[in-house]
Amino acid sequence: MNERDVDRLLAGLVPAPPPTETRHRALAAARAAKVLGTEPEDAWSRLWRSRPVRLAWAATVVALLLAHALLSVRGPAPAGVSVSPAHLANQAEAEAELAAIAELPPLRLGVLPFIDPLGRPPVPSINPSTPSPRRPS
Amino acid sequence: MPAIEDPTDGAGERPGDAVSFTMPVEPWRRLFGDIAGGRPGALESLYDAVAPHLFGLAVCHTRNREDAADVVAETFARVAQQGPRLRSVRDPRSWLLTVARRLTVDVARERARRAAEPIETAFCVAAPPIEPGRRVDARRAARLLALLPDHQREVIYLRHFADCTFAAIGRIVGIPTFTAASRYRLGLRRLRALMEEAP
Repeated sequence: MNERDVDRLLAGLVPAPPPTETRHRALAAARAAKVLGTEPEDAWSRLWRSRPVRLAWAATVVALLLAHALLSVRGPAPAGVSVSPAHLANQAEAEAELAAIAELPPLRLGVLPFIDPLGRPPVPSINPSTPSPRRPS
Repeated sequence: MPAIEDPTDGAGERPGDAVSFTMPVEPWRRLFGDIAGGRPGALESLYDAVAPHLFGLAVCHTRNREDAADVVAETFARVAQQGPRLRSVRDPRSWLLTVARRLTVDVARERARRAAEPIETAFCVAAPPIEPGRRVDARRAARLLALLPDHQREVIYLRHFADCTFAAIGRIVGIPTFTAASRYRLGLRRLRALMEEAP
């Protein structure tokens, strides 16, 4: 018994025919379904199948790509933009304030923190002009 | 094989077209287009071409001829419900088998009302009308197929009697192509063993 026997058995056989009345039932069911109307399509399917919507989508994508390309080619805005003197003065003032904040002077030079987190003794200053660190009394 | 007839519209007449289950995709798509366009006789042509294959597939699962007939009728209702969307079906034959199989699975799941018929009456295959002498073979094949697990039986049915490729079977059943081929191979092996047990 080998594969050929199985093939020989199945070869030439056909699917079982349905009962005769099934033809009438199936066609009647199809006609009834047609009369009742097609299944309502969901919104996404309607959008996907709509040619104007697809065209609009394609046009939007193309417009966005063109705009992106155009802006990339033009580069940054030109330097010679006229600005009012009052605006310039305000801007300089703000920059000076920012610089002052960024360069805060130390409150007391040569003073170590009260508590050394590692428990080491205070190290004297190497710079002779700087007073030695003092322990708080 | 009945030819597509068009009693009303001579423009759509294509005398060369004959509807059969094994015809290529393009004539299938034309037939679906005709059904979508409401051409008289198109549904009847479709029925003659596919009903036995859909019925056999349904019997494979349900082992009940009445349930299988329900599946065929419901499949045709689904076809009619699609309306103009039928024109966008790429592979109508696989689409029909897929719809019928899903309906069959639904029927088989919810079926508590009807028990499976005896194997002797719920055959999924038959002898060809021109070879009535093969009825004994058909009965034997149907009996052996009924002893296979459902998933192997349907793959063997789709391959042998619905002329599907493994890729198409994979799409219809919802499994990878390799799995379809594997189920087919295991099914044939089991069938061989059954033939040896009951020669």
